[in-house]
Amino acid sequence: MHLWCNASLAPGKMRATDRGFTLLEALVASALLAFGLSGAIRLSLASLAATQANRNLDMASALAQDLAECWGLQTSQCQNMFVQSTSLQPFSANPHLTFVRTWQVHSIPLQGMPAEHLQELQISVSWQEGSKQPEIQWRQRRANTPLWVGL
Amino acid sequence: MHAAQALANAEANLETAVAHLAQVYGSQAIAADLQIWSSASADICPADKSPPQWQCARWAPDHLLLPEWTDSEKTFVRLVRDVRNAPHRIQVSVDATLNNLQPGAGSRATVQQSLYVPISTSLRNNTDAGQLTSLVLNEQTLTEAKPHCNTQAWQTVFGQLSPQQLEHLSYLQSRNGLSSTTLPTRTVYWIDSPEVWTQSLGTRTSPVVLVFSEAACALRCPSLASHTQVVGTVFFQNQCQAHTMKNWQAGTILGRLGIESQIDSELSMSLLNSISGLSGLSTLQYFDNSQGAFNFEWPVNINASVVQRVAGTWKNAGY
Repeated sequence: MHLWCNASLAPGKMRATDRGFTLLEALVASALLAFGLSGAIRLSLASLAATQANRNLDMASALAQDLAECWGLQTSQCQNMFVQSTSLQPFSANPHLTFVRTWQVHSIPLQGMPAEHLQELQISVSWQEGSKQPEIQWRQRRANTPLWVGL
Repeated sequence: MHAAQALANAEANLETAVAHLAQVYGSQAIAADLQIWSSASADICPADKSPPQWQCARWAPDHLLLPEWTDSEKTFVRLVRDVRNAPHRIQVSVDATLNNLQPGAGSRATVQQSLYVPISTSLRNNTDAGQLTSLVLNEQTLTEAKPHCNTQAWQTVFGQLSPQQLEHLSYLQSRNGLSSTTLPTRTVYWIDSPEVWTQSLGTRTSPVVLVFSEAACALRCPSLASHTQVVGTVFFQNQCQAHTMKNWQAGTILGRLGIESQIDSELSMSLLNSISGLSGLSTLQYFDNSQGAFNFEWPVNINASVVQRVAGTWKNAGY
């Protein structure tokens, strides 16, 4: 069957120079196009997922740094938080994304010095990303050597 | 994120170094200072801070103490101080690299902070500072009931600064290569030799301190040759032994003279009136900045006996 025909020719007669696509050719072309498009779509989806994962990682990193700075600041609010708890209320960036922050404070022993002389804060931030649960770790240390600010 | 983790790791290393310095300076400050700076070398100094004025050492951190993400091979702590003008103030800088436990392995950051360490003290705490006179004597007479010489004259001149601290400051300057011929010049001299002092030292803008120790005054305190001029403070640790100052002469002292004993009234008159005594010309004139060589900059009312951070000196040098 031809996709293109000349009305002036008698039925059943075809010119030797007739040109066009066969159905098979069209099917192959369509399949190739579909394959290419699906690849492009998959790539776009993967790119979107990677962007989202990076954004989540940045958010988790920022949340960890925020907590670490609070520990370093030693305001009464921060001090209470680190004394009375080892986790915060989960932080939700949107209804489908929640970050969970937990921490532990360890003393680094130094001979002849009190336990609080050098301490390390270990922070963990985790979140759900599809079927995976990524997690980042953060470390901060603090010496209780006083800062002279005058009397 | 890796840069932020590298910075957090560098900060953790800095805090570890600060805690360690507070620990070692907290017990035996001078012994700790000797030990920490024993590896001082010009090679470690930054380009704009070279000996003899600046002293630089590399602190090898204890691997057990290091934060777990630190690449111990590539991480180092550098200590820098001005041995002449501020030996009690140390700049601690850390260059830290993340190790393979972190995805950002190889990321590095530097941070620094300055500390006050207890190897000198603030003269502002000296209650006698307002009663400065050119000649300070110890009027104590040793008796069987009171056989030990007090340090009244020393405290009047040096306040809470101990003889051990001053001797150490002298050693630091000498070890770092400071002398009367370098630029800048040496300012602290602890002298154990009983020989007559013949070197003129100090200027009005750069006064010196000379302490003739107990060892130098064991038999007779050394005189200052008549042609010498010392601008600053001269002190004799003669342990209430007035006879060690017999026939002593002072050359010319522009500043303050402290003696841990009484002296002959004739010598005293001679000194205060700048007249020729039996033992030659001895001149003593008061000079405002006579304490300049050991009056280091300390914040008002600071407790100088413990390690403290210097406000406003934390710095992220970046990379």
